Amino acid sequence: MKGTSFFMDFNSKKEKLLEQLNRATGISFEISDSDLSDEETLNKLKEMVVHFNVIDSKTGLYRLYLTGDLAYSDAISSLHRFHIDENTPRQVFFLESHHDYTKEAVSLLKSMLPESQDVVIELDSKHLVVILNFETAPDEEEVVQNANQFLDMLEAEAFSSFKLSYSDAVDNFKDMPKAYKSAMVAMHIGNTFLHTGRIYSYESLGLGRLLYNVPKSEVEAYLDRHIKLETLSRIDEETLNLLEAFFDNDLSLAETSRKMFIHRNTLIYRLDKFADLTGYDVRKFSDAITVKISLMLYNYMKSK
Amino acid sequence: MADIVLKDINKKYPNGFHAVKDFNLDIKDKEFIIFVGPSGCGKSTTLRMIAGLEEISSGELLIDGKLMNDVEPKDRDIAMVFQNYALYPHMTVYDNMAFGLKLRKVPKDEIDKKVREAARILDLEKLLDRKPKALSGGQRQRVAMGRAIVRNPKVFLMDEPLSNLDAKLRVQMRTEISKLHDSLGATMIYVTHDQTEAMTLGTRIVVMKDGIVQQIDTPANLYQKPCNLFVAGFIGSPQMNFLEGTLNADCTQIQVNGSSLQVPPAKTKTLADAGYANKAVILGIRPEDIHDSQIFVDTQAASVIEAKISVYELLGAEVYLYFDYAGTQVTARVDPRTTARGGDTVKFALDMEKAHFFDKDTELTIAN
Repeated sequence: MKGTSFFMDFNSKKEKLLEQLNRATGISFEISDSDLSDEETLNKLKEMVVHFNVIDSKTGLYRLYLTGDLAYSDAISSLHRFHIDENTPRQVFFLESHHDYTKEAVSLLKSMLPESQDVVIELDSKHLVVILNFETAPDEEEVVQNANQFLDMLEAEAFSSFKLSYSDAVDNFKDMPKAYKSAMVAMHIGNTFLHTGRIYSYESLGLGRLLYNVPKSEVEAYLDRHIKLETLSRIDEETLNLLEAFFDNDLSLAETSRKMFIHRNTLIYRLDKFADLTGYDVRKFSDAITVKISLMLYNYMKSK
Repeated sequence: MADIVLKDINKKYPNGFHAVKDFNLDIKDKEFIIFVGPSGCGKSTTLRMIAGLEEISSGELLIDGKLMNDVEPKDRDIAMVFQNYALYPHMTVYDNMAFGLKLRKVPKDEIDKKVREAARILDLEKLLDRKPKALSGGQRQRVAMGRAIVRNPKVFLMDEPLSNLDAKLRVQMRTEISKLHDSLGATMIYVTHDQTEAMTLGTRIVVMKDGIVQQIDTPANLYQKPCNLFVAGFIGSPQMNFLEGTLNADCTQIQVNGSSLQVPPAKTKTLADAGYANKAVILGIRPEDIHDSQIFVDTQAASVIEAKISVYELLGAEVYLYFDYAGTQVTARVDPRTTARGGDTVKFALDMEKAHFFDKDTELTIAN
């Protein structure tokens, strides 16, 4: 299956590059008897794309550059052509749609962009990238506000449901692929560890970022040693929600019961029941850490 | 407009998280329904399932008798207003309101008619040529509402639309939304975590917790007859006070922290019939049903407690007195003419006619 999927991937990439060459040169290229491997063929075609200056738009330049299909040294020569300033602060947003997104969604995003240098890039049928330019680097509040506005407007006006991820803003063009990659990783981690979140910041994923890189065998060994998968699966959702709230409120019984609108004694009763089941009393800091990590790893295992 | 029926609706995510459980509700045409509950209770998820932005895991959603589960969001004849509205910066108010219709390729003259009608309803007619930066916060919010109105939908779905506004504007917009509901005669579903918004706007309120509907009722009934401890605590600000106590053998008295409080005859009967004699229960009493005036203390002598006031808060038209009793912080809402101050030991009379009794284990209401 893996071979088939790679083959299809290769073909579609090859066709796309040939089409770009054709558009730029007016010549219809074909690949016949070649000694090159698939990978070498694609690399050769990419070289030709750059050579023939196929990058026919600002969006095209960003797309190739962010996805690693265009080296910095090649991209830099085209910046002037598209009036792209190398040292402008920029924010890269990565958007993922559950279903294939519509043309309306893209039109709407484009209409929302305040600056002419801002772009919307269509990566594939489910993923978009939005690049916003700023005069000075945006603060977190501004970034979150932009993110929320994109998502709410897509839902309200284009009836399209997306998730969005991002990492820190970058100060120069060179660092953009790194920001793009971090945003993509943030989407993966967010989808793995968070139930219903819709905006993931790479910098705020904390423990999730660390645990995401732990090998599966280590995860299993940890759970086996502390709280077994089978035990975790028996915990009801109400208790899971309470534990989450208890962690979010810095292990405060009063604050958690107030925020969750339950009686303090009910919370104590539930935490006691959890301690009986697992042997861990989350009112103790060390036990709380173990439980927090175990629950995150449990979600991680479920997502696999 | 539209009737909406939600039958045994469930939302379960691929990782097993069960966000909404067996949600059942019949919404009548022109009703203003509020979904309220703490963060993570499933209210927004339910709204998003109605909108078609989240798939329904099981159950049926019907709008005007038609099954909507697999109908695309754009074909459900709904309009949504969310918290983070944005106006297109280079477009005029007119174009901002028309943009959604242009995306849907609606004919130009029809767009014009709809935009002007919405502008009339929202009192935006004179602002149609302005750009967003020339508008006040309230005017911008009205433009956002206008974008929903021009769709002329069967149902309006609003998810915390006022959350980003300051307190003053929020109160103003709350009134405007209420007027809008009356003038449009539309079915509206409104999600909020703010119980004041819920109580003032809704014809009926759905209180949710942990993905489960706790109670569906009118604002007055929710306040006066909560079905469980959660609803009693969630509805009302400051929230209801809860004290643990034990009923005597004939349920005529409840012992709380050494004080004996008389239970009114009607509640005595309900408690006795339900088998709570000599059992521990939770007594709920709202802050406004705790009085410090001498007249009340004298006439309600059988339900008086004594406590030292820890905090005195004057809010102008009323005073909140906070004190610890039976290991719980209790709030009393009293007349601003009170002479009580922080540090004073004061006698409080509890209006036991208004008291609520809850089962200690199930947290369900025994008597209201």
